[in-house]
Amino acid sequence: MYMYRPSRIIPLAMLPEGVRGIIVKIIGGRGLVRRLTEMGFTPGIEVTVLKSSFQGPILAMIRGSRIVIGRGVAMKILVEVGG
Amino acid sequence: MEIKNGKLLTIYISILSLLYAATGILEIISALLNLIIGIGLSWIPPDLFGGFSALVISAIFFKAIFPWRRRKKANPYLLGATLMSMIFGTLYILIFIATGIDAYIVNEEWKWITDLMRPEIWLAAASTPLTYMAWIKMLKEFKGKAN
Amino acid sequence: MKIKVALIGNPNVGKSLIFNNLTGGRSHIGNWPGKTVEKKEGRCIYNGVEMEIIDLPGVYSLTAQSIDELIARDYIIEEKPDIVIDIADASNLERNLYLTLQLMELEVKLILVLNKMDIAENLGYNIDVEALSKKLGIPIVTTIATEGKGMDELKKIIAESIHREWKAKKISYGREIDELIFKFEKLIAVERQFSTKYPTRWLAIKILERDEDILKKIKKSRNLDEILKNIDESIKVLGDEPDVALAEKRYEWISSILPQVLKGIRPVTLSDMLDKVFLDKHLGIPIFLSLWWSLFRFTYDVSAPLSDLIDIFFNRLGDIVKEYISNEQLASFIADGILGGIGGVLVFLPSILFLFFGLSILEDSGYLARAAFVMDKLMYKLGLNGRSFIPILLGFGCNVPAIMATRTIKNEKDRVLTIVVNPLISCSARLPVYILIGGAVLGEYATAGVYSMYILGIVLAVSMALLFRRIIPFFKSGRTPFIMELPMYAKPILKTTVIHMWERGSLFLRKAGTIIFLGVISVWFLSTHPWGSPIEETYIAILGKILEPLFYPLGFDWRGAVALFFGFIAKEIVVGAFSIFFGFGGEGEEESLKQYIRTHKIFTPLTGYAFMAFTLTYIPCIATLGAIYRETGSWKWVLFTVTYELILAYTVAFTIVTAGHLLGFT
Repeated sequence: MYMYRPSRIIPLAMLPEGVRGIIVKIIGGRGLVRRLTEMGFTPGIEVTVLKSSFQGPILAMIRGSRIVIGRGVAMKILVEVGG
Repeated sequence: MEIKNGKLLTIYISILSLLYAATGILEIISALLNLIIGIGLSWIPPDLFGGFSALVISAIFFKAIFPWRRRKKANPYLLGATLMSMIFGTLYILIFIATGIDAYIVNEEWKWITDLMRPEIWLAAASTPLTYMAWIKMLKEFKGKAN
Repeated sequence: MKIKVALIGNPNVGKSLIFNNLTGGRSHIGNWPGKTVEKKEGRCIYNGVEMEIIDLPGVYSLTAQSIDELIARDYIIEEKPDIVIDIADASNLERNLYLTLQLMELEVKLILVLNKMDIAENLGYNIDVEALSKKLGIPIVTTIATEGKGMDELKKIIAESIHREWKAKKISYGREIDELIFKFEKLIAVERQFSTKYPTRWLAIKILERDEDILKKIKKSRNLDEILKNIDESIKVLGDEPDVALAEKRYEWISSILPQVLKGIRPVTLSDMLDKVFLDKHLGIPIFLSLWWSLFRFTYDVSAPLSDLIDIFFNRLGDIVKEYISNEQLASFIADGILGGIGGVLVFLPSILFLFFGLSILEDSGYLARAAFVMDKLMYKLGLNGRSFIPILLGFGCNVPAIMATRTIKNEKDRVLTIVVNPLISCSARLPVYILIGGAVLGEYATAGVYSMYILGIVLAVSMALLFRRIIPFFKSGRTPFIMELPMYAKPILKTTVIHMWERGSLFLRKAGTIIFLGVISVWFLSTHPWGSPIEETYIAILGKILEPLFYPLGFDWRGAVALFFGFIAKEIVVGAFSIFFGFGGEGEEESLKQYIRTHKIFTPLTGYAFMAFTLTYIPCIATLGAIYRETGSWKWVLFTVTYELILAYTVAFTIVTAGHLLGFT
């Protein structure tokens, strides 16, 4: 069954487990953005959420490595899903 | 796991889960009795956290009853449960040996039968075939290396 | 001919294993000058060439934003090692190459080591090493450190490097940025104070990134005005975050060469499967608690025979000394002072070795990082970081290894906070005090009283953590965002584990050993002098009488006061002190000692309970203080811990006594 789902931009923290998204932008202070960029979080890169729950940190797979990010940080990474 | 063996395997895992649960509950009851009236259940070690750990292993085995993406991949919960079972089995054997040596050193009587009757040692032995099956299958799937 | 070799790499790439393989496990551990970060050095001889190997901290990048990164960077640019070995995880090439690019910009003689080749192969990756080497312009060695493979090639290429020259490729950031870099480079290159010391292109890139450390360095430049003008102009091209823009460019460059050197797609791995279980929403925390508990039993139960053996050995030795040395004073000094002192320290050694053996297995297997993930939600609410949980639990055994275990916490503020509240977790040394006093005065509630001490300890530690977070500026801003890489699960290597265990063990022996030893000697002296006088007239009694008024509101007499003073060395001594005061020889006669305390009304149930709480809370023992000093690198935190704990102990004990009186107890 095919269902049309338009692409939308949401924080990484809202991405359900096992779903992929493309990083669009990271909002936040210079230090945070730099740190995330150095760990490989750059716009246009695919990120998969491996573990996520209602609260607590999320586990994401990016550029072949597993990165744990606190919920607060994950709210600042905007990803594009669907489409 | 092979599909035709699926039923047998489910029963095997269920029994282990049940036995671990029983062990855990009894150890906790024994510990509480020991705390309140000063004496636990005979043959059951009074061990609050040990009982808790047995319950945890039981819960992982329970989750392993419902295979994850059946047929395609190895069962992660089975890997976890057997690993935990082996860790605790080994731990209690080590404690058994250490207690024996210690009793010799400080010149005390060693109640080795009581120490050896730690249920987790025997449950680990009982889950060894399962451990072998689960991990060998997994190792085949990942071409022989743990990573 | 001696060459200086620096090892660098991301965390979890197997760097320490390669270090151990090169140096044969023999290393010297110290601190980086003025820093609390550990510095490891070792030696290796190959074909008559002597290499001095320095293990730099594991870093993801070379910006100046963390101490680790600054140390690594400063070492490379200031100390100028002959060779820099960049160790990369072949199974995670994309992210690891980021650091490689930054090292290439430092224009050092760089060798890239691709470690974990076996894992990369198992993942189905096929790396064209020759092509990669050409793209980067640096030699590459492939290794499997866990099996010792590739080590000879590595040693050989290091030894031969003295006769070889090579230059890493320059990374292009695109025409626009390259032009900016060139502009800055021209401005700097004319000044010898910079051009002789630093690679000019690197300096130009750092200026463009507005690196704080470098901007400070170029303050002395004659062209400062023009540089600053150019920086303002560069914002038009690069935006507000030039460092981020450049980092993205580096990743772009990596992404562009990667398809040419790496083939294969990442499959589902064992790590993915194990994470399903160990990071399970419901079972994650219970599994962690069970595994921790197994570590706890391993540390204290399995090591018990060794501890007892050491204890017996020193007791026997003491007996022999007392028998054969006729001079009473000398015999007492050697037997009770020296042997008692060394024995008292060595008894802890097996536990510490076992603890670090187990901890090393948990860490090397990749589980410890998972534990932090699992516990983060809970610890966050308590004002701590996920990684703070492990040291808190270890504290129930002994606070010394627990404080040493805070090394796994990367954030300094979280780490210090975890350290200063750790002594409140009731260690095993306090148990004898609870048993003695509780057993003597609490009657049938003795067991409940002892258990309540453990709970009180946790409650106090958590409340203090929350309080300090709120009121102390140092901790306030300390909450850095939680970002951490989870390594793949791996089979622990026995050799690494044993080396790790031994490193920790010998550190404990060397440093805590001297502190406790001196402490015990002074206690022995104070309680035996003036020589031959009854206990009421020794120096320690005089001290007790001075302290007595302080403790009067709590209902402790001079003996209680001085026992607590003794307990500062090691809390077990509180019990020992009581037995000396009341004239009971060994700890074996506890039963009669309990009766004595009860019948002579040394403590009432109320003051006894307050005494237990005071013992729990007041000053950490000397070994713990030593550990706090070592791990924080400053006496300030030692003093802070002592002060707040004394105030807290007094408050808690006074509250208990006052509340008790109000409820009608005496």
